[in-house]
Parts: sequence; C-alpha cells; structure tokens
Amino acid sequence: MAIDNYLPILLFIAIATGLACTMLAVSWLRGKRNPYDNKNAPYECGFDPVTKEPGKFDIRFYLVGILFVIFDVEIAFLFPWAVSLGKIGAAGFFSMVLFLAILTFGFIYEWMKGALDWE
Amino acid sequence: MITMLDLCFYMFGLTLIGSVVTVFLARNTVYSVFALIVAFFNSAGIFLLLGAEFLAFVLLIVYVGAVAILFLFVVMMIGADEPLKKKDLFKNVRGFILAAGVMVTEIIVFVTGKFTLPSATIMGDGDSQISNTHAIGEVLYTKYFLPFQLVGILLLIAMIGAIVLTLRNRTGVKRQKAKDQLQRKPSDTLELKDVPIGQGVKTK
Amino acid sequence: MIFNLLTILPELSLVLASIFMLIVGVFKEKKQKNAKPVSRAFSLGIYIAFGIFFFAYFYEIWVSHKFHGFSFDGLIASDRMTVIGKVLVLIAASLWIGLKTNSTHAAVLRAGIKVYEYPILSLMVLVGAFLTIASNDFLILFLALELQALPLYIMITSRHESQHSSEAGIKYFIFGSIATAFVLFGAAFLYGYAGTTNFSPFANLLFFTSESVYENMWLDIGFLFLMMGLMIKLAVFPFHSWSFDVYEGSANVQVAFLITVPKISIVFVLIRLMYGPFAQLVPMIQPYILWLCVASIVWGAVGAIKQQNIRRLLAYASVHNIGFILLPISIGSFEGLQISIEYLTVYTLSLIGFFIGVTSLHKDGMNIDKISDLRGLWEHYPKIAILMTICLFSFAGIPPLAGFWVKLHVFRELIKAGMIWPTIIIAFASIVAVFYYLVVIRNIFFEKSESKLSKDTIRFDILMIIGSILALYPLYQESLLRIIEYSLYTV
Repeated sequence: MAIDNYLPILLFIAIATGLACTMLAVSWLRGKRNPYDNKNAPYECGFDPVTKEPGKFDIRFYLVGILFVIFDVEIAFLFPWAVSLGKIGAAGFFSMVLFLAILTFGFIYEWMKGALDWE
Repeated sequence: MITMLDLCFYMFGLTLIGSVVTVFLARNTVYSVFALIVAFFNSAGIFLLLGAEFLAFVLLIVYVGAVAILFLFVVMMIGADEPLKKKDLFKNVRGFILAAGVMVTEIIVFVTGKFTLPSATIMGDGDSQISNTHAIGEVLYTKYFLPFQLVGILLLIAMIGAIVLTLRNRTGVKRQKAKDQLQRKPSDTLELKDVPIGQGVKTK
Repeated sequence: MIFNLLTILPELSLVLASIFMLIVGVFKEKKQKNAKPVSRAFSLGIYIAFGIFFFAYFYEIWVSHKFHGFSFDGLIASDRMTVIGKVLVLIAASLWIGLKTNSTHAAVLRAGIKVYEYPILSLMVLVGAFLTIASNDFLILFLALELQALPLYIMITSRHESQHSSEAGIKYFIFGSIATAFVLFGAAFLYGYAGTTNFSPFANLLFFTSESVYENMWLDIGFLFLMMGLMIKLAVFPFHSWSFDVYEGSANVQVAFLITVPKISIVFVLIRLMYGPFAQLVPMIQPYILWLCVASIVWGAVGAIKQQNIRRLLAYASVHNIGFILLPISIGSFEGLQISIEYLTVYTLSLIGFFIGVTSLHKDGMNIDKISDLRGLWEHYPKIAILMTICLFSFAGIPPLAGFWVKLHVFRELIKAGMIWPTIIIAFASIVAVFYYLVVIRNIFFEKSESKLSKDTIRFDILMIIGSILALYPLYQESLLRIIEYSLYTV
C-alpha cells in the first residue's frame, strides 16, 4: 500500500486538531469569564474528583494486565501468519503451532497456579 | 526541497522528542504516562512514513492499547501522592553524567565533519504489490523460525516472571473451586432432624 | 532443517526440560502445598539427558567437525569457538542452577528463594547464554541477550523477604534494558547501512567497499552504540555503576551466577563481532576500548579498598578483571584473542572456587555477607581456608598461581604492541588490587571470630580440582592455550 492512502487520515487528524483548537480558542476569546469557587467546582454536588491520595490499586490488576499484554503480543504474531498462510505451507503452519504450544504450556501453568482467579 | 513527507516526518519527530522530554521532566507521573502515549502515537506515525504499516499498527495495539494502560496501573499502584520536587529530579546522577559524557564525546569525535541532514524517503517495497503484513508473514514463520520460537520462550518467561513476582497466596480468603462446588451434596452440609413437639433441638 | 537442530541441541534439551519441569512442578504444587516439585531423581534425569545431548553436540561440532559453519539460514554459528564458549558457560553455571542435587541447594534456600521456578529460570539463562555465544545475526543476538537477562531479573527479585532484592532487581532491569536498547539502536543503524541483520555479509561489505569505512557516519554510530550496549552489560568503567548495588542486593548463589555467565557470553559475542564482521572498524574504536579498559582496571582496584561487603568487593573485582579480559581483545592480534579467553577461563575458575567456599559457609543461619563474616575460617575449616586462599591469590596475581601467569601474558602482549604507558598504569593498579585480596585473607587467617562459622556439604572434589589447576597452572597452560588456539582457527 502506498503512503498516499493515508492522506485522508492525515487530513482527518489535521482537521480534528484544528477544530478542537479553534473551538477552545474562540470560547476563550469570546466567552465571558468571572470565575468563583463554586463555579469552578467540577460537579455541583458529590465529592471532589481530584483527591490528593488516590486509593492504591491492588497488585492483582497489574498481574492480569501483564498476562493480557503477553497474549496481546501473541495475537499480533497471528495476524501476518493468517494472511500469508497460503504461501508458507505446512512448515509455517507447524511453526505457529509450536509457538502456540509453548504459550499454552504457559497458560496451563498460570491456570494451575491460580493467577487467573480473583479470590 | 521540502516535500509533504518531510514536513510530516519533522512534525512527528519534533512532537516525539517533545513528548519524550515531557515524560521525564513531568513531575506528576500521570502526565508522564500521557506524554508517553503521545510519543507512541508519533512513533507509529513515523513507522507509517517509513512504509512499515504493520509495525505502526502493532505499536498502537500493543503499546497504546496495553502497555500504556499497564503503566497507568503502576502509577496508580505506587500512588502519585506528591509530585517530585524539582531538585530531586536530578539527584544521584553523577555517574550517569559521566557515562553520558563519555558517550557524547565519542559520538562527537566520530561524527565531526561527517554530518548530513538526511531527507525522508520511503524505504522498503514501495513499488511491490504485496503488503507489509504479507511480506512479514512470508519470512517470519519459515526463514526466521528460530527467532520466532525464541519470542515464544521469552513470552513464557515473562509469564513465569509476572506470576513469581506478584502472585501471593493469601490465607483466609475464600476462593472459587468449581470442582468442589459442583460435587457438593446435600448430605455434606445439611442434617435433617425430626423435631419432637414441645422439645426443640439441641444445638451443638 | 532437521540437521540444523543438531547445532542447537543443548539449548533445545534445556528448553524441553524446563517446560516439562514447569508443568510437572505446578501440578505437584497444586496437589500438596510446599511440596518440592523438582525431585532428586528428576533432576538427575535432567543432568543425564543434558549430558548426552551436550556430548552429542560437542562430538559433532568439535571432534567430527561435520556441521561446521552456519545453520538456520546463517542465524546460528556453529564452530569450535562456540563450543568452547558453551563449555565455559556450562562450567560456570552448573553449580548454581539451584536444582535439588546441587550442593548449593541449601544456600539457595537460606537466601530466601523458595519458589520452585528458580531452577527453571536459571536453565533459561543458560539457554540465553548459549544462544548469545552462537548468534550470528542481530535478531538472534537481541533475543538471546533478552533471554539471558529476563530470567536473571526475575531471579534477583524473587527473594520476597529482602528489600535489597527488589532494589537490585529493578536496578539490574533498568540498566539491562538500556544496554539492550543501545544494542538494538546500533543494530538498526548497521541494518540501515548494510540492509541485512546477518553478521557474515558485513565482513565482505566492509572489506570491499569503495569508500573508506571511516567516512560513513551511520556505520560508525551503529558500531559505537553496539559496543556501548555490550559494555554496559559487561560493566566496563564509565558504565559500571549499576553493578555494585545489584550484586550487593543479590544472594551469594545468584552473584556467582550473575558475575560469570552473562559476562562470558558477552565477551564471546564481542570476540565474534570484533574479529569477524567488524574487523575493519576495530582500529577506529581501539584506543577508546583500550583506555576504558585501563580506567576500569584502575577504578576496580582503587574503589574496592574501602569495601566491607563481600559481594560489593567482588563487583569491584569484576570491573577490574573485565578490563584485563578486554585489553588483549582491543589489541586485535590473534595472540591477544587467545590470551583473553585464557584470562576468562582462569578468572571463571577462581570465581567458582571462591564461591563454592563462600556459599557453603554460613554464620548463625545467615549467608556470608561481610568480609568479617569469614573470620575464624582457618580455625574451623582449614582445608576450605587454604583452597579459598589459593583462589584469592590467583585473583591477586601472586606468582606461582594461574592469575599471575595470565596477567603476565596480558602485560607481554601489551608491550609487544608497543603500549608502554597502559602497561605501567595497569601494573600499578594490580599491585593496589593485591591489597584488598589481602584484607580478605587476613580475615580468614588472623582474626578471631565471635560467633561460630558452620558449613553445609561442600563439593571438595571440585574445589580440589580448581585449586590444583590454579596452583599448578604452568602444567596445564600449554594444553589450555593449544585448545583455545585450535578452537579459534576455524573462526
């Protein structure tokens, strides 16, 4: 694919950026501003969304996240394999099978270890 | 002459450098992560300019979609209580400055008099009919069989590492045990008793 | 294709063994908590199977020389130099794997490493080191370096009780990643120059190129970054600062692994790069490597004087010795290469001997941490004391021992190349270095201890062999040099 095909995307990015900037600029230039405390508050009622100490995340979020990344990378390897499967033949097919087998062992390991349970 | 491509390249490049500098100068770690996401987007743009479409989109999927979110988790986990003080940013860097100084000197010595500003060109198979993804797919699984399997082993190690380092079995927490739960019979937990009238049942 | 597999037979067997171990282990652990999933019989089986595979590999490559050259489309090199590298890595690593049959198993447990994945990870480090030595392509080099480093990060961080462990792990991780990033960056530039990631075409390309290689900026920068990345991993002088904290925060058994295995493999990669594809560029970078080596020899000698912690001391000693190992390579002659590998061998043997002693000892149930913890060794275990002293004297380069002869060879080679000033400087630095080895020896022999030193089962046989090699080095020297020479002719 030639790079020209991405021209619409570039235009889209340019227009989106331009539009956002224009809107901000116009409202900043034209709007009336006389702020006071209650007006600046993000919500009329409820608690403040910005606190000094955010509640600490459990490390299990991180574990699930990193396991997700690993399988995400695995998926990224599946794309080129899927599109060129016709050309690479049996060797290519079994090479992917081996790759998936290695990761399946990893999957069995993490399943048995209880890393996927959420207590 | 500056073409449209050059313009795009320098735009992406300058934004990339700017956002990377923001990553380590921002005193609030959440801002650092957002600057990092901007950096990922811009490097994806540069990959596109180079004709590496597949890499560009993998970068978006893996890095913006997953890794940046992980970074956010970590930032949340650490808890961005207090932004760093400005003077703390440059503490304990004498060794780094020394190493960086040696590197920069060597680069300057090597490069002096040879520097030319390159112009952006599209590399790779500009005129060939097959797409980037096809081109990668045709060699990755056969010619580069060994590196491909090594990637698999690396991912396996990453999995082991994540589990070894973060998984703690807490005691006193009830876990779901599907097998035990399904095999539960009424007789295990229920006890039926005839209650004579007027006497009640003694509890243990 | 199937014949190609022979050239990675040791790696293949290790990967299969560790995956098998992983799955068996997790099922066993599920069945009963705190089970020892890797049983004695099982690890013995692994040893035997690996021994057979490694011997097959050794026989085919070294003796019958049938699969000499490259396999996997030139990604993997298989010549005698890779064999000698792999054997050296195997010698360095075999004691510290952490399998149950290891004599160091008790030390591993004492260090607070309770996860059963530990031996699996150390086997993976071994795979990474083997592949690093055999790599003939930047793709493989990068992946193998990662494969070698990633399990090490996990191993170092896996001591849950120790805070130092996490600190060391994070530091090692960050610096390792930076080093790999430099290697990748350099490889990208070199790819941009040559259009290939394989090492082999570079030699022809650089030799027959019409323009002078000094003219091409991208080539120079690429090579420079590659070298810097590898030097960060080796902890050569200005890039050394990570190693002290990392070693201090790790357990003794881990340091024994960390200080030898990755360094041996990276020295072999450096040799392959500097004598093969990039030989044309070496004269350009040679003065820098020379002076960085001299600086790290001096720094390692001077900085170690004040150290109390034994692992920190060894980190300085490693900076000091890496300088000696790289100096002969930077000269660029065939003899220099030979001497560098000789030095590496002697250095590895001395380290193993020293660590066998240190890891088998403990004081009040704690591993040896400070130099003063070795007090009273002579009173309680005179045999260990003498053998450890031989290793330390060999480090220091005291005359009849191996360390003296190899240092002498380095000096001789430097003088032959006409480098008088570096020789004088490193001679003074190695005299300074003798001082801190003597501090350790004073603690072993002449200081009284307050609390009792005890020991685990210790591999006296191996310690005796190492001690005798180091003490009677002139007897072995000729044959060692001939083996190295023989292995290098095919590169």
